[in-house]
Amino acid sequence: MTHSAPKKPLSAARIFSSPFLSLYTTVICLIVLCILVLWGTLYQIDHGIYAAKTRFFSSWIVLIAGIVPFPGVLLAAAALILNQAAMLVFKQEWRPAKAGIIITHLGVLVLLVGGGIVSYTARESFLALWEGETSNESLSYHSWDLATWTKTKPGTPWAMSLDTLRTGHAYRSALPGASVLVEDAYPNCVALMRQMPLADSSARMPMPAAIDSIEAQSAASDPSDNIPGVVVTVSAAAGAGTRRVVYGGASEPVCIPCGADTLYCAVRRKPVPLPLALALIKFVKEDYAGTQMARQYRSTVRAKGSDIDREAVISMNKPFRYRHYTFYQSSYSQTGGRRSSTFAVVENRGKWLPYVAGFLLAAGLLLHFCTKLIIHIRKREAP
Amino acid sequence: MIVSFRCAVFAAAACAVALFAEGASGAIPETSYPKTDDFASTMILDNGRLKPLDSYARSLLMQFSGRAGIHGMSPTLWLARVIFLPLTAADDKVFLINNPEVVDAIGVLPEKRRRYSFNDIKRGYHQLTGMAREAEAKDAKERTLFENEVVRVSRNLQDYLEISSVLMFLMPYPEFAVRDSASRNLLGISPAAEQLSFYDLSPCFDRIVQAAAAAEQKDKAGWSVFDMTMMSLSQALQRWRQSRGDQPFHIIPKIVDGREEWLCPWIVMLDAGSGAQARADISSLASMRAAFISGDAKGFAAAVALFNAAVRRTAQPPSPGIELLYNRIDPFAKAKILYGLAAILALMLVTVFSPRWARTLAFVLICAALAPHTFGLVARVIILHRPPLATIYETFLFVAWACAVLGLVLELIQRKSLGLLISSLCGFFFLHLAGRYNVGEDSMGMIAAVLNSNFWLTTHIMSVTLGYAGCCCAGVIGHVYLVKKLFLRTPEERLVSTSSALYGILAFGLVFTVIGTMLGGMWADQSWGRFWGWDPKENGALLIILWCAVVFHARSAGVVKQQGMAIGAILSLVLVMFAWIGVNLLGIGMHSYGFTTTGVTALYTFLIFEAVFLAAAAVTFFMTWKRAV
Repeated sequence: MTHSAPKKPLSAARIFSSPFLSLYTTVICLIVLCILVLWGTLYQIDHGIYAAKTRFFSSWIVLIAGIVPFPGVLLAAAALILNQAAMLVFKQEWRPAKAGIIITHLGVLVLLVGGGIVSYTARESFLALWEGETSNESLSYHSWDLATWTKTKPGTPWAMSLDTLRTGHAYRSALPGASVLVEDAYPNCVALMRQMPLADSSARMPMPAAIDSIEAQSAASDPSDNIPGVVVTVSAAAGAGTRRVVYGGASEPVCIPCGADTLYCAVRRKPVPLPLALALIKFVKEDYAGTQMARQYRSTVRAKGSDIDREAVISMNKPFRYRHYTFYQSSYSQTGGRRSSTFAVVENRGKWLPYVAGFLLAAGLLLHFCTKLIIHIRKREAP
Repeated sequence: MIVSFRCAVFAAAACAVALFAEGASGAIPETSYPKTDDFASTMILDNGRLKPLDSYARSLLMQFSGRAGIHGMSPTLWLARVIFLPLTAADDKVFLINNPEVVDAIGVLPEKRRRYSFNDIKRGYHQLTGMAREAEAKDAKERTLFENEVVRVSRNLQDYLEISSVLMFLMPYPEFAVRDSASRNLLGISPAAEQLSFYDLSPCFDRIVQAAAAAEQKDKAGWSVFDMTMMSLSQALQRWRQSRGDQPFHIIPKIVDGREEWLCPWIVMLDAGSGAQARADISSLASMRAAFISGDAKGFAAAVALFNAAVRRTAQPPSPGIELLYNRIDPFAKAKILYGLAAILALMLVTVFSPRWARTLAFVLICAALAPHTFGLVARVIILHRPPLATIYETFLFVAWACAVLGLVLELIQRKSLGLLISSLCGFFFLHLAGRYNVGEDSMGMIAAVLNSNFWLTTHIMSVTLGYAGCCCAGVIGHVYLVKKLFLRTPEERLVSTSSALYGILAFGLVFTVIGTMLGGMWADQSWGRFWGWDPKENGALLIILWCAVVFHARSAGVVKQQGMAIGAILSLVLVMFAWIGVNLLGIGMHSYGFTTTGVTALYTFLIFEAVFLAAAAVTFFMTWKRAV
């Protein structure tokens, strides 16, 4: 895959791009990426995929032993983008014989730029529905809210993102005149029942009435496994404040009587509004004959929106797409004859970019390979 | 389908009582068993798939003994002995115990071939199950090698007991002894039969229960022998009937609510009173057993034919022909031997001598190996209705085939014997490795729901494995180049064809790894909602792509020349092994269906070999350079 080219006159753009006009830069970037991918993969064994993504794959700089800087995947990829772009513009011979190599490198550029766009713009959430249930919002995997609402107006909760809450600050609530003072906030914690700690973190079952306090835990390797909690003091306009523990794993909200009304408080996953309402009509788990091993999961849903009202089937490898949203069959549960289905919901405005890049890469490489092969065979056959 | 373990436990216990009886041994001479060819084609629902009994027997034997054959008898004959004559089959040495400490712990005399019969192990059975219970209480990751072996052997014994008890209801049993003439007259039993089976007595069930009820009305002190017999038979029959539950031998089809279900004989036996077909099925099985133990070949064949005809009247199982042929030929073992012979010739051709006849012979051997190899892959497609690429075992089979074809194509282009070496060596090596992944489990088992897509299996996995094949072939050429250049001192100009072959085949590997990885991203986008997730399996493929790109760009930049390309190709082979085998050993990521602990030794051996080879090459290069300077 050569990049030999006739000399071109110097220009400002050429001078600016000169550090990237070298195959040595390409080789160095690729070797750095090799090291990072291998290191990041082995790092996952002890630290999990999220930590590896944060340290290697979504970072500009990786600190070795906390001191020595090493380029992260973002920096190496950015350098590679500049290198490829500069090489294509200033060094690449644009002639039919090089079509394969040009298309391939264009594919690489689209892939790298598209990957950046997708990773910064795609939003992931999930939607769990029981058969017969309908919802027009999904829930965030990582973000949590502290929500308050009143008994008299249950449909209009007042929510604050836990990421923005600061301890020692008072915030307004859904009840006019009542404020919520955040005393403590824990990104991951376990509920303690009447001073008795739960046996283990997996026992974080919803037990609302008996939660006495919460105890901070180190962050889980997968952030979606974190269950946050806050300790708040609710003060009405007149009267002393009421101190309460609000735990993300509780199934029922904390209720605080405030005069004639009641204020409800809950830490819950952040809802993500959807452009349509999805109702689960039926969920079926098809097993291999004579076994309990699943062959297929299939959810029949009804999608209702401003420009859609139809039934659809969501199954493994067959998602349901609507505008920029895609709904994937992700999980299921069965309790007492009732079945629920969980869908992974992805909002992605650049979902076509990897497909374009993939097509360009495949077409370019095949074209280049076949061209080279034909040339080689012709050379051999030549007398 | 009724799923209960009560029956399994009861039946296994019943069988165990018989099998554990001291001095239990085969009462039937091991000669003149009826031919089991027709019995081998009887269909059974196992592991989610309808398959001939021959395949079922092979997978059981493979699970127990790590081999698909025993004592020169066919797997079906072994299975027939286990279910029709469990006391005789208890002497068959089918249990592989790899760890000598386990053999010591259960007090068994060590066998040279590490295979033991049920009768060998039965004295240490309780000790073994006790140790297995303790080991199973631990987390699987915390178990020692000894504990893992104990659990494996114990589970195999449990499975064996269940299988050997599937027709216990046809066997005479002490509980069903009828000795007094009054009882015999009531039940219409011939005077010759002393011990009867559950099957013999079940038509008389109502009469026995009535007689027992009448006896119960009497004073116990005044019970006659007849009354006592009736009470005893009634209690025994009731106890057996209450143990209704599923067993692992689903050979009788039944249409339930318009759906085809396959039931085990015990369930059908209990329902026999409710249908003529059920009675006929059980009667066929009883005839089969009677004919088998008496060595009546004609009677056995007739009973099997009657049973199979009844099965096909009820259900539409697939024809077992191709699977029986696949089992009989054992295509991959045959291909491996032929590749091995060709590899010896090709090694000599590349390094020592190159007569025309040897080249032709190697070419013919490879073509001969490709014939069963191709048949094996095609047969798997026909049998499983999916491309043979869903398990790591199948990817080894496919890569071996792809390497063999790639090598032949190279040979047709270059005619320098290098292609013959690639074909034969890769074919042999990967088929051998595949065999290591085919121990202890059914190689035609079910696949996870996410993999259940013929389109993506065909496009993504086939492309990636073709890419792997290309890189592996390039790695072999890299070795050949370095051996010739550094160890055999072949001049550079005579290595041009080797170098150009390496370039072309590594490029082939890169092209298909890229295509496969992009298709994999699209599949992940369809299944999991993201194109790329930095999952270890994805990273493995990316590493191969990045490394190949490094090699090609370094060559274009003039950083490396032919020798550097050869080293680069060898390292690409190392990365392929990491992505292919190593990542599955990590046990992390979304590709959990590929996790395995098999291949650790093979991977480490390979890595040590490559390290030693490259070190030797480096030393030789340094010494040559020093002499030249």
